[in-house]
Amino acid sequence: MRLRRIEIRNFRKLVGPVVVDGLDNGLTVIAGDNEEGKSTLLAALKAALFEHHAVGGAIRESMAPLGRTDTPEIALELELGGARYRLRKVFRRGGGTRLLTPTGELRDDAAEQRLQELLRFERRQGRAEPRPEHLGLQALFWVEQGTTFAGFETLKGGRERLARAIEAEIGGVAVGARGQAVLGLVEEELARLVTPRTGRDTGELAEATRRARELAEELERLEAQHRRYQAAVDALGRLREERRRVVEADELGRARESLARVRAELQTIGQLEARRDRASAVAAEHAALWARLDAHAARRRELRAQVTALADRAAAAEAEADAVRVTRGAAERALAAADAAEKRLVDRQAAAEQQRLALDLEVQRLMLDLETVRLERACTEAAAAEDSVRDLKARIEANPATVARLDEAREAERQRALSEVGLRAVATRVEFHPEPGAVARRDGAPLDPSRPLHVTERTELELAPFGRIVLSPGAGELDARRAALKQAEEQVARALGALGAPSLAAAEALHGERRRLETELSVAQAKLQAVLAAEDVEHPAELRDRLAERRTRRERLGTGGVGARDGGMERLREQLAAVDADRQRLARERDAARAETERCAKALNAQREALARQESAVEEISRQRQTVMAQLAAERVDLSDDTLAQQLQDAERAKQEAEADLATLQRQLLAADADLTRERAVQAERRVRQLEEELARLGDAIREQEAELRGLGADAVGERLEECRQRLVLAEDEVDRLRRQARAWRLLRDELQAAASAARDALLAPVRERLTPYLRRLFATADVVLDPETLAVTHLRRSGPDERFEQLSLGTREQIAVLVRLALARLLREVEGEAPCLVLDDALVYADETRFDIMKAILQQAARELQILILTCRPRDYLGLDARQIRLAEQVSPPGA
Amino acid sequence: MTVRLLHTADWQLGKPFANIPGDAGALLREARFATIRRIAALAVERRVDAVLVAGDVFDGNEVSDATLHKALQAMGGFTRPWVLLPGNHDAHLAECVWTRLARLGPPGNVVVAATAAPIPLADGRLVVLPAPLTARRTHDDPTVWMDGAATPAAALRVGLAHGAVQGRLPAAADSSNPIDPARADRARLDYLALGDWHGTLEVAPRTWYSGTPEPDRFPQNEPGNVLIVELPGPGLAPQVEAVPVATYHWSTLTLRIAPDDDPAQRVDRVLLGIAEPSRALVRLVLEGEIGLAGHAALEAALARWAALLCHLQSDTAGLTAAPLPGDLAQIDDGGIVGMVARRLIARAAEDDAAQRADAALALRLLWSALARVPVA
Repeated sequence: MRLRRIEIRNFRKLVGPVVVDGLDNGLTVIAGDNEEGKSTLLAALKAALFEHHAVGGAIRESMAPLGRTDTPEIALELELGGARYRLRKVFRRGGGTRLLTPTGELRDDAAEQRLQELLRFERRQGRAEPRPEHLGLQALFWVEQGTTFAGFETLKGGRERLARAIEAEIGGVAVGARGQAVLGLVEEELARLVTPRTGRDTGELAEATRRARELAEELERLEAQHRRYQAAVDALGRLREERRRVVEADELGRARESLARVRAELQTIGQLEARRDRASAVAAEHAALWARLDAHAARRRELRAQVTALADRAAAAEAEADAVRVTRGAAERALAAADAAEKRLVDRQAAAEQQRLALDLEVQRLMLDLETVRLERACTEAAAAEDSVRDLKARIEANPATVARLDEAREAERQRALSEVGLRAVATRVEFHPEPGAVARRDGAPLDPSRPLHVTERTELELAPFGRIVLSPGAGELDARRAALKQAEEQVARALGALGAPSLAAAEALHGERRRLETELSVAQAKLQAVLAAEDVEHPAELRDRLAERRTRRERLGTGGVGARDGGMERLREQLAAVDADRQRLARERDAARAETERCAKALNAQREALARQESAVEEISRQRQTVMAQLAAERVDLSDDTLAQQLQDAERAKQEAEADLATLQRQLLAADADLTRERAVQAERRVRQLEEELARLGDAIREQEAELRGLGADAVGERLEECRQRLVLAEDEVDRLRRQARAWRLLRDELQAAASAARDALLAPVRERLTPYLRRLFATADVVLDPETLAVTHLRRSGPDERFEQLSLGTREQIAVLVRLALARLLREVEGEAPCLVLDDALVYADETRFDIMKAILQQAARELQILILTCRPRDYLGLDARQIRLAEQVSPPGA
Repeated sequence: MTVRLLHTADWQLGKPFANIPGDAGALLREARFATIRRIAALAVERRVDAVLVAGDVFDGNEVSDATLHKALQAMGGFTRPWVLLPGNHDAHLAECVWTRLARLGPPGNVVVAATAAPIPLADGRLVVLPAPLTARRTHDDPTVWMDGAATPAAALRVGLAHGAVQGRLPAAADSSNPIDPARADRARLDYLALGDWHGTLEVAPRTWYSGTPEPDRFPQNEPGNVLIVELPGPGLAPQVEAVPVATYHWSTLTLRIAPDDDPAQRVDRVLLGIAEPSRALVRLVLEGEIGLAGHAALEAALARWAALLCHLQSDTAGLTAAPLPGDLAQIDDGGIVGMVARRLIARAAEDDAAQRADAALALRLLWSALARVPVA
């Protein structure tokens, strides 16, 4: 379509009439300042072509000039398909549309219908909002102010026509709404069975798969259970078969028979053993009888031997007794001699004892005399010592000079001496150096001129011939020291007074006396104690008592012995020693005589005892011989020696016969092998027992197996297994069916997608082919990615990653959008013979100078094939182009023109 | 002298039918007990001397106790002897459904033929010679012993066994548990009551399979009957009458569809012939070629019939669904959908079976998707 003339009246701000005439092919720049109506011009074009003349409501109202009721009116002249058309449209109910076509004029609805056919757009119905499809393909190419760079939503309206145009060129297939709908439905159906991204089962298929899997697991479980059941049945069958075999084979019966046979053999052996035992007993009896008789015979022989031996022994014993009797006579005589000798010694010993007693008495008298004398002297010494002690004690008592008192006097003297020294230290020292003849006196007494005088108080000295001199010492402390001395002297006087001594020296002497007396007292006491201790008494009275007692004892011993005081003791001692020596000798002789006597007596006793023993032995032997002879005689009375010998012979023969019987039975038993037979019996019993146990075990196992099977069988595992198996088959069939469906849906989807993709690629190829030369001018190596569905530019592809269209700069987006439109317009022109007029309202406002120049060059080049109207407020920007410049303001005719 | 028996077999009580989805499985489980009750009523009505059940009374040895209780309850309507033979499904093992049944204390008229020993019945006029199975599979003829079994001369000899009569059954039949086809002659049997084959079949003189009274699969034979057997006397030919007792009817139908057919109409025409749809289990084998539109119509029809029938199992392995020219015209609007359809058609013709199947299904799904997309 190419516009040739535009006339507008009463349309928004173009009250006009505005006439833009003489529009040529190529580039036209329509200039106008802001608010002069450039966009209104574009809106008027759209209204004239796509709005019904009788349109009402807001659309109609938006057409009228502001504040006026004038009827909008638009007249166009245009070329379509090589033909020229004139259109006049008056927007009012009574008005209408007139379309002059090469074949005639059409009016109103017919004209509107024809327009719709020519421009291929959808008529907007009623009060519906205007949409791109209501403008047909023009919507792609009439770009309003500020929307050039916006998305390509407006392309949707003309996509089908574009697609058809491309199909016409390339002979390809369009996806089409039907194809798209089918593809959508197929994808939806496929998504019901498998997930679009991962292809995993979902929905009904997943459910069927799950069901089949669960049934398979259930089947596996049931099969396992069924196998267990079958195994248990088989096991039970085997057990029963085993028991049947055992029962049928009658092993137990045969074992029991075998046991019975062995037991019978054992019984026979038992009988043999009983006979053997009896034979053994008989043999034992015979042996015992023979042994008794043999013993009897042996004893008979022994008795006879004993009688003989006892007779021999009795004769020997009698001879020995006679010998002992001889020895006993000699012993009796020796004893009589020894006894006489001892008696003599006894007499002599008694005489010596009498002598010894007389001497002892004399010694006692003498000893008492001596002790009395000593005690009398000790009593005297003790009495003297007692007197001395008493006297000394009295004298000590009379001496007051005790240590304490003396110490007190010594201390007082020491204090006095100190006081005196202190007084002298402050006294006035007066030294005398008299002329020859001169004398110094105090209180009339001459003073020793060689000794200095210490004056402590007012002292008047008489110095002859000088006269008198008075000394008055005046030291401060003199009085106090003098008083202290006085006090000390008084203390000394008191202490001396207590001692009863005129001076300390006298006191010391008095004390020395007292100490001497005390020493003497100690000596006297010691002496007394020594006297007492010598007699082992503690008190002198005891000494005196002892003396009295000794005197009493002496008086009892009578007279005599007094002569012994003068050497009598020595003589007595000598006599005593002689007597004692005699006594000791006699004692020894007596002991010897007694020992001899005792020895003779013992010897005699021994002989006597020996004789008694011998005689007793003779008697015993005789008695024994009598006894043995009596026994022998008694036995012979019961059983004669001949009879005994006969019985012994008989018994021996019987014993040998019994032993032969026993040996025979023993051989029979050995042949029967009792041990082996018993072992066989044990084994047979064990075999019977084990077979019984085996049968019992089989019975128990069968019962256990039966019990287990009852439990398993009640579970109806077979029925459930078969049911599960059949259900699994159904479920797997269902899974197969759904999988087949999924495969078929996927195949269908893949085929549809492949076809759609091929169609879209084919669709885009011509567009890219025409777009690329334009793009290369703006971007040396760039390409654009188009949405095959909307033909919108989605990405710009340069050296790096694809750049999203929305993220490009406004200027770049605007430029690309214009270039895509140019490419599409070229495509349409080339395919359909002509393209819609391209109207750009204030486009490229964001382009920099360089890009703007490039874009102008591109537009200029495109304008060789396309009619391009540029509405701009900056006409100078387009100077230099081969373009007609029209100022909108200059196209307005005065009202009424 | 005439002895009348009811011969039945293969009850397989406790069969779970979990392969039948929905409520139908539970209905089938319960129906088997109802059939036993019906058999008991028939036995009373026909005054039979005994009911012989020739094996597979239970579906397995490990069915639930509830199944045992319900079985005894269902048999309660007939108080004369029920002779139950252990078959391969319920072989008499060391521990089995029979030992459990014995522990439950069944009524005295329920006789379990646990051993191969004569069972005199009908006051001695009849001796049943059972051949119980003691394993699921044997390779020895369990009926051999009948040849030498001594019975009173005046008594009828009736064998009761479970297995495959050799050479008289289709090759597909189980070859284990073989039975000599001449057993009735060899053992001088007046009648040999057999189980294992689920269809009613006389396989040899005086030798019958009663078949299962209640089918449990889409049959190749004639199940759903019991046999009323009249034995006039020793050595005389028996009179056998098959009496249908089944609650549910299983059938396999084949429908061949051409591209020009209206598949819904064809399906209706076939299935409308079923007398009691709610008691019918149908396996519909679909063959031929069909367009996408036709396939969609077919699926709708099958869905409708699946709701009406007790169970409908569609087997479409032999049915090829490919776009017809008319389908393609609807699909191909010059856009990608048409292009995709053409690619799928090409894939559906490739050698790889899995790819082929996926492409064919994808085409059907594309068709269904297009039906849901608003027309432009």
